[in-house]
Amino acid sequence: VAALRGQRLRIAAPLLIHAGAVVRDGQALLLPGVSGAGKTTLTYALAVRGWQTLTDDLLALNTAPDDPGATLMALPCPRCGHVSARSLHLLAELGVSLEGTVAGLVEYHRPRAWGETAPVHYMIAPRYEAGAACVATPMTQAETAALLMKASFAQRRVEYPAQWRAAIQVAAQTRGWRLTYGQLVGALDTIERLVAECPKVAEVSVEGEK
Amino acid sequence: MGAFPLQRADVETYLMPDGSCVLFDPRAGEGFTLNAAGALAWEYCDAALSTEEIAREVAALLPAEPQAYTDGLAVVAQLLEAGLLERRSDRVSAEVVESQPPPAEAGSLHLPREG
Repeated sequence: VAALRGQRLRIAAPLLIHAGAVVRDGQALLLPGVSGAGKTTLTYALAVRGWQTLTDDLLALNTAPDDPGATLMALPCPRCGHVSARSLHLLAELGVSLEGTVAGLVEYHRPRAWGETAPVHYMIAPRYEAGAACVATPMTQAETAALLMKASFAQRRVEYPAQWRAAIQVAAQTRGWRLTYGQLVGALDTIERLVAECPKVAEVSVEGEK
Repeated sequence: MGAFPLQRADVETYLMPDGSCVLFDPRAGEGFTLNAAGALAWEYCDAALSTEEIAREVAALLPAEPQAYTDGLAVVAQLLEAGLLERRSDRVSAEVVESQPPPAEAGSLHLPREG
């Protein structure tokens, strides 16, 4: 903290977004959303379906240092997440075991294992509503790009073009849905169904012109 | 209405694999999203067709979508309102449009194929 004091923190990643993220079979699934949307609980709960956590809240998307022109990848951000007592109970019922509390912080826990850097293939924008039925609504890839931008942390206006292009690149290889849910198991079942039914993206190409 | 919409020259167009489209306005630093019908309408905005003619073309290409005509009208109106389209009072002939040079490379985004 002392080293950063008085300095302007520069973010190296082309996109830094407010999202949970998990990975399975080398394919990352993003869970962007505002606080209270259920990102952390859903992220950790997906462990029972074989997904490994990349992050519960803060996701960097970047290229490999030695290949800056390549596909943007979802990077792990191993840190503890805020898990309420109720969420902890729900996760325990599912069989998810978390480490913590961490450093004596009340309601802060972290997964026992972390996933590795992976390309993004799926995006689910969750919204928890008590008692709501589980409803998934597909998004176009343009909407997916816009949602990534909306979830990204505000940077300087001069960086907007690069951020938009980064969001478009990620969205072009991604299938996205909005998901409203009231029960965790229903959300997990729906996510599994969407991923299973989703055709693999065989080609990533965006026609761009000015 | 007698207006012939024309794409503003500096707006960047990104056509996504699913047919949807992102328009990036470098002046405002904002992006606009279009579904496939909207992307078709945008493509027709070359000042050779009126708004109504564009909507008819979109509807003809999407006969299974009953709202295609009204959607086409609406999206052109929204893009005019947002300033991404210019309103030309005179029609550009199809011959002139076809003789235009291809779009500039600047602003293009070519993504690698998935391995």
